[in-house]
Amino acid sequence: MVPPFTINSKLKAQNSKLILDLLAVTAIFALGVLIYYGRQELPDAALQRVQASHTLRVGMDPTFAPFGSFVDGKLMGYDVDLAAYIAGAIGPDVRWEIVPIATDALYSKLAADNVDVLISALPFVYERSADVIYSRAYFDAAPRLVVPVGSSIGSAADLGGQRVGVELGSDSDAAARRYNRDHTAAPLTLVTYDLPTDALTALAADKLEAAIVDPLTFAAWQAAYPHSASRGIGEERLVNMAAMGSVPYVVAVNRTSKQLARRVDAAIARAQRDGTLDGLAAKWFR
Amino acid sequence: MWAKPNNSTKWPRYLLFSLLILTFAVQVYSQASPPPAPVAPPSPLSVGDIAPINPKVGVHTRLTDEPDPAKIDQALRLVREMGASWVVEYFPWNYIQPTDANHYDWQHADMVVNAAAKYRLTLIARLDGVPTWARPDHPEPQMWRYLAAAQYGVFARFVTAFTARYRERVRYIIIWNEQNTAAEWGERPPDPAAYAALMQQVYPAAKLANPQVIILFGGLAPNLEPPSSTVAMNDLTYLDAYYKVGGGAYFDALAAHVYPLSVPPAPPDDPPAPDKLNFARAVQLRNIMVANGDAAKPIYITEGGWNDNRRFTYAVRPAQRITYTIGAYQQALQWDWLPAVSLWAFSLPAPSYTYMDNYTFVASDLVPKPIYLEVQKYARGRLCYNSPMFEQTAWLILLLTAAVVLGLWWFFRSPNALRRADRLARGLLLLVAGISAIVIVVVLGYLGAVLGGLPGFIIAALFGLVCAVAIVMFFFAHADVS
Repeated sequence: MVPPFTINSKLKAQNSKLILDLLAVTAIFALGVLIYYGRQELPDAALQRVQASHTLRVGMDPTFAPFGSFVDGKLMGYDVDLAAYIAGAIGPDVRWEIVPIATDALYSKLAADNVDVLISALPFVYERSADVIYSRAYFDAAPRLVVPVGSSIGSAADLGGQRVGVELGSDSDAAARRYNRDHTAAPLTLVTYDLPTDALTALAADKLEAAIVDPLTFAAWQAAYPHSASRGIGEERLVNMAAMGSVPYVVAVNRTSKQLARRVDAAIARAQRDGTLDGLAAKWFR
Repeated sequence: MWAKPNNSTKWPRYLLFSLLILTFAVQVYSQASPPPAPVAPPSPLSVGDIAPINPKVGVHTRLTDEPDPAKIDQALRLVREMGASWVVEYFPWNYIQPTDANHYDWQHADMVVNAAAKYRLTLIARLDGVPTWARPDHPEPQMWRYLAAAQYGVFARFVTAFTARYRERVRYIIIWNEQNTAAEWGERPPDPAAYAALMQQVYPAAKLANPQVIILFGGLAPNLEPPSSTVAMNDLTYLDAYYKVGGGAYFDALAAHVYPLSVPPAPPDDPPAPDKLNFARAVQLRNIMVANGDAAKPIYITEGGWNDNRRFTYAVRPAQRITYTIGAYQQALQWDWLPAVSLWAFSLPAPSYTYMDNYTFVASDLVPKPIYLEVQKYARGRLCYNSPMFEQTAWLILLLTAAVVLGLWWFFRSPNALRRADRLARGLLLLVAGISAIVIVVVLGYLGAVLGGLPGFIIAALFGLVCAVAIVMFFFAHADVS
């Protein structure tokens, strides 16, 4: 006697396979959904706040000319203009608000969410990259190797035996001494001066073969003594041959603000491409 | 009166001839050899090779949080090689007694004290900081400077233990630090009477452990805060108030902090004034001590210095920092009541990435900065460390002088030649001989100092003196004036 509602064995086997197939498909679909949503970034609270308030709060130390300082009661400088550019790149209706902060408190204010970004001639600090997201560099503050036009010195490797002027005690001085530690067989002859402009003056007067100075000093020098054939004074034609090391200035964003960090980085990349950074350098460093 | 030339006068000629040969040989050698790298790092000389010219040069190290014994050793070796004789270091009570009053962890302190002794540095130890167990009413981490009156005796026992343990190697101990600021006095208003009460317990206890120990009054933070300030008390006011409550008997010397906090920062020779924060703040503190009858007690500068960080309000240019720092060490030589100047800070265990990094003499990886090398030049008496040409010139002068003298000797080797010269000629020859003698003494002395510090100067100057005497004797021997 066959019990009621009994399915024969073949049909049972087919149904089992169907159920297993359905389960497998369902599992794969569920996994796919989880993967899809899992890859989605968490909402960037900072970016959302910026977009909602139309204001980018920029933490800045206002005592470091020419990047940011008060002039006649108004805060101005390279970083101030860069902040305006970045705010505009984030959104056409986004304003920028500078929040003056002492240099020692910049990172703590960012961590406390008192500001959205830090734009304050910040050097890249590897140890801090665990807590913040740094943008690409928008300026390199490393000392510059400066030589006269037509010099036989083509790079830092050619400094052996040359008279090189530096500001005593400065990072340029340290770079030159570091060179000599690494090139004991062919050191350069270090000539120190009280001011970096003194080193450039000596270089222009052929008392030196090269000078190492900070980039801002050299930029100001170039502005004061522009290369001009009409001047006819060859010793004033100095060129920046190479950077002695790398000291990148970057923008910092909280580690949780990935989307904002990407917008900032994209803005700096665009500023490099469209010549904005060069324009800011010409405006503020010369 | 004057002896006729005989065999006994030959030795001056031999001496002069030897001097000429030696000088010529050195010139040839130094011309053939490449000049030394002008900015090479200091060679690892043994401590005995280093003869500082200024015994008051010191630095405040910051080895408290340095766990690597090799780095501690290297840092103190670098201090010595810079030409410093003094070092100030901080030994936190909460590091040495972290758990309770009965257990001590001397390991790190031993490393620092032993290394300082190894490099013959005079160590000034600063003791303060309160372990959590010693401040039960305020266990919060930020209250680690809070020392209740009931714990003064406990702290005194720690000071006693430290003094006794290092009685052979640590003679100077500073009690507390910048106690005239609320932050360093446990977030409380500064209280000179309370500090006097603390010293009243610590001083006799330390003296029992080591009667020769020098107890230093904690270095006060220089400031111009008004009387109503809750942040700090004016350092001059604090010290005077301390004397007024009878604390003068409980310290042997004063530790002083002298930071030039003006815009722009003043050079080390800026005159003192009560309303100035400059290097001469130490003079103002001295005046307070003298007014309170403590003229006999010395002052040790244990913190101070200039900063060249461009973002620091009180910054100077890098070259100024070097000039002022060396100037400060030189200025200290003018004050006989000041045995040592230890500037802040030799190095930090790790970069702070703030303006604090620009107080240091060497980087956190112990690579010397330019200021270290320049102070080393000064402190070790190498006048022209960076200019071998000056040494070459000195040797050339010596060579020419010796050649002149020996030329005269050859020309006038016959006594008759000198006798035939008239009085004027003889006078001129004697003048040339005298000048040559002086030049030889001076140049040899300089070269000796450059090459060998003080011992080199003494030896070379004596040798030069012998040559000078020989020159003059030679000419007198030939004069045959009767």
